[in-house]
Amino acid sequence: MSPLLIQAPILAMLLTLLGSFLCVLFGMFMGRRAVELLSGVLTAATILLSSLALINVYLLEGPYVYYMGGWPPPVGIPYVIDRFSAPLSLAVSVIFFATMVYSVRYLEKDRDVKWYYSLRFLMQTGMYGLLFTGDMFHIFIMLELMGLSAILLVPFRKEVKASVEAGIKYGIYDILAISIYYLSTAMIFGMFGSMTIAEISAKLGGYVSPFSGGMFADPSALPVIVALIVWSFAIGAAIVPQHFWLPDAHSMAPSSISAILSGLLVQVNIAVLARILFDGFAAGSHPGGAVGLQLLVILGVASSLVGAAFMLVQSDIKRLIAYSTITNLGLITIGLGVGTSLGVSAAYLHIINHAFVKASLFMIAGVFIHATGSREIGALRGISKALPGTSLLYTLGTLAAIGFPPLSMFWSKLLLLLSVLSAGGVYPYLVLPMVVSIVFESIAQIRLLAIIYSGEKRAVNCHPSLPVILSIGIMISIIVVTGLMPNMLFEFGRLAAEDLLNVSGYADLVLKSLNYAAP
Amino acid sequence: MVIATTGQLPYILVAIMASICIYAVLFKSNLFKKMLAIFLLTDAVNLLFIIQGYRLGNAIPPIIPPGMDPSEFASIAVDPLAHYFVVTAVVIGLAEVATLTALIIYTYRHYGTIETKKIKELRG
Amino acid sequence: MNGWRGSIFGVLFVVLMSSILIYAFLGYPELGFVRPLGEFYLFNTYNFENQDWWSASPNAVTGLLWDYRGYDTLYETMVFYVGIAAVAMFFEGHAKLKKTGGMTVIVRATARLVFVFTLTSAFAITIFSIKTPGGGFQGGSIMAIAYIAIIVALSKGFLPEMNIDLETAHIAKIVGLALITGLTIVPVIYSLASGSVAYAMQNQPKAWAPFGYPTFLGLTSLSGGLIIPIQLGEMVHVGMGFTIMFLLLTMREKED
Repeated sequence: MSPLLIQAPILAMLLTLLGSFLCVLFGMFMGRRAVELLSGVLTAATILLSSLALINVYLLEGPYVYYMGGWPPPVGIPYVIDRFSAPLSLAVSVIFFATMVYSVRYLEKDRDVKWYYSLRFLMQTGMYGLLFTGDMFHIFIMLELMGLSAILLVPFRKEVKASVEAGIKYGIYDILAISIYYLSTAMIFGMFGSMTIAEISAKLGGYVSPFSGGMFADPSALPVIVALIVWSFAIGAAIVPQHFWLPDAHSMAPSSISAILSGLLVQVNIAVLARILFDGFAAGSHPGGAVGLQLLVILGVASSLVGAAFMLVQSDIKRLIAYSTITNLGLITIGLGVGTSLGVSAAYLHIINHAFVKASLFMIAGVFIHATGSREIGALRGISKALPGTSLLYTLGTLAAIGFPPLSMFWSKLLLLLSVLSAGGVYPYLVLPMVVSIVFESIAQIRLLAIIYSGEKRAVNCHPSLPVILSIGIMISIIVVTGLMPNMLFEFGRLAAEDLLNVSGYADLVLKSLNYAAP
Repeated sequence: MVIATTGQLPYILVAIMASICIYAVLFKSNLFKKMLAIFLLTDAVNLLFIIQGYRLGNAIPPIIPPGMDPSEFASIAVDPLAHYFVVTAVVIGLAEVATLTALIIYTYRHYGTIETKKIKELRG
Repeated sequence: MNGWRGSIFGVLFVVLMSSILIYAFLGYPELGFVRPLGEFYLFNTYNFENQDWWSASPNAVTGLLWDYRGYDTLYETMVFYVGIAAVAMFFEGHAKLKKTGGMTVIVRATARLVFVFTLTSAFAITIFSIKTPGGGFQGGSIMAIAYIAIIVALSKGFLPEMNIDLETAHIAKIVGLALITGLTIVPVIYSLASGSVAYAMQNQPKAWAPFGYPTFLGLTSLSGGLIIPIQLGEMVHVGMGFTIMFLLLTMREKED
């Protein structure tokens, strides 16, 4: 295998790392144009490298493990580049690039942008790390990196009272979530004697590692650990009982950051949770891990209903979109919780589609807010006559969000409903709450569209500049194009679910692909 | 299942400490108390790591003395992995302190209070 | 919730939560033994017989920090960087350092002397972290004390006397980070250039990945390949980071 293909995802990560502090250096000496140029070049390079990794995993060599520092898994940290993580990492790169282009003009009035770009880079690094890593403790560090950067970016406009309040709220709960996760890693260390995700499932199946031995504690404690992990990620991903920070944080952040928070950050949390539950705790087969799936279904139903209900009463456009995120996260967790191959692939597709749709909706909402100077939905009356192009893009995005047939999210919503119906037991009844939440969400979104298209032409403060429209256009065209190729989408979802659900295959890949005996 | 013995008592200490901290973060209204509770929670977990990596008897620190045979060293030293986790978590805890302190100071500047009950600009 | 209802709720919550956790811990083994993975590190970290698995650091924790799990520590450093960014983002630009005069020659000389001693001990703790407890973070904290002690004892105005202000501190911090990141990327670049197998953050050569930083032969106590330079980078980063933090947090909002 060519070294470039092996190193590509890691190189992307290290480039963002370099960018994070070079941004500050450039900002101190060369001004903001240099910072923007640097971040533009580096994020474009990450798209290239992530596509290389994707091509490698899908077409050339298949999934592989990257041994950090050259150490095989229980000794060092493995990075697993497989068909579950590679497409998500490409989505991360693309959305970061689009929001980067968007923020050049969007943040023009803000004084100091060097920390903004620097922290954005670190958030990107954290996401790559979370998607690829196969080590529980590394997840803790990456959650912390991603979380702290996001916490600081929410109150980026620190003069605004409410944004600082949203920041501290998000900060307290996100750090609490990460600390609870840290508690669970300590318990895993005590029970399994190692932090590698693949070793956990292997040891539950009776494997004795040449490095870290067998198990050290009774697996009856497993449901408690799984519940702690689900709890911590449920706070981080705003699943219902702990959702209250999300609408505040996502609506008060600058729109370019809201797009990332809502489109990627919560989804990455869910993806990591899926990795831990399915590949770590063997949720498909082991009763301890299955507790996690049942929890996910219950929380998912509550989440989709509560999010959709709150969407109906919102008067602030960004809060409306934020509650829509909660609804869709509920649907995703239901899909994961069902745990069948169809359910996981549907959830996976919904994660990717929702990332693009939600990011573009937030970006357009930012344009509207700049143009009208107000966040109220009522102020948008007549905006379609003033900004016809942007409104058309917004319409496409909204239609995708409510699952209008040829657009991308229609296919994943359809698959989610089908997966629930085809699963056994009580799961088919879940169709009812899911349909209710989808209908509520559609009503709220269509009401917003109706307001945009009603009324006389209104005056606007400013028109969006070309880079802004271009970045939004990239996102919307991805939504349209992927929607037109459902077969390709299904194939991606199927292969990702295959890699995620094949527990023994994952364990073999991580633990046995280095042909060198332990000392 | 083993009945709790004296060898397991430190676990119980960790469990109680962690629960009190989680309660305080969720239900105390003072932001500063919430922050302190988060760090105590991290410390409870650090304690859990340290006790799990401890060796009874004449344990030595995980630094090999000159001339000692590695296999002998491996049988008497304490667990370096647990120490590693704690060292890392302590640094991360510092970053958390810095972030939350900065945010709390700014909250105080804007609202003149750090009681969450009195800060109600957003509806949650 | 306040008054007696709040207390009862709190007690109930804590009792319930801790009994769930204690239930989990009941199946855990008695304390007082080291798990095999820990023994693996202890056995191999400075084992000349099998250099495929060694980190060449007699201190197993240091070996773990920058070799076995070095990639973790790299990002732990970045998390600390975010912490500094938090303070810098929120409190930067309030005031500039002003040189204050008025100190006698004795005070200045003593301050310089203490400063040099503290800095020396910081370097010593960092460089000898391979053999003794300590490391880049600990050394950096002591280095920061050299500056913070001056701020506390003699006022911030004395810092320009020590040739440091916010901008130089930021630059020094970035240089430290660049050193760490550079040493992480070198194996990747080597692998791209030569076509052989090498992994990010790789330190010692292994049978399955031949890349290695040169170990200083004959100076086995000071070996460890990339560990010492990387620790120095971390020391500068942490020391300067703490200095920036304290400088900014002690500044008044407005110049009087």
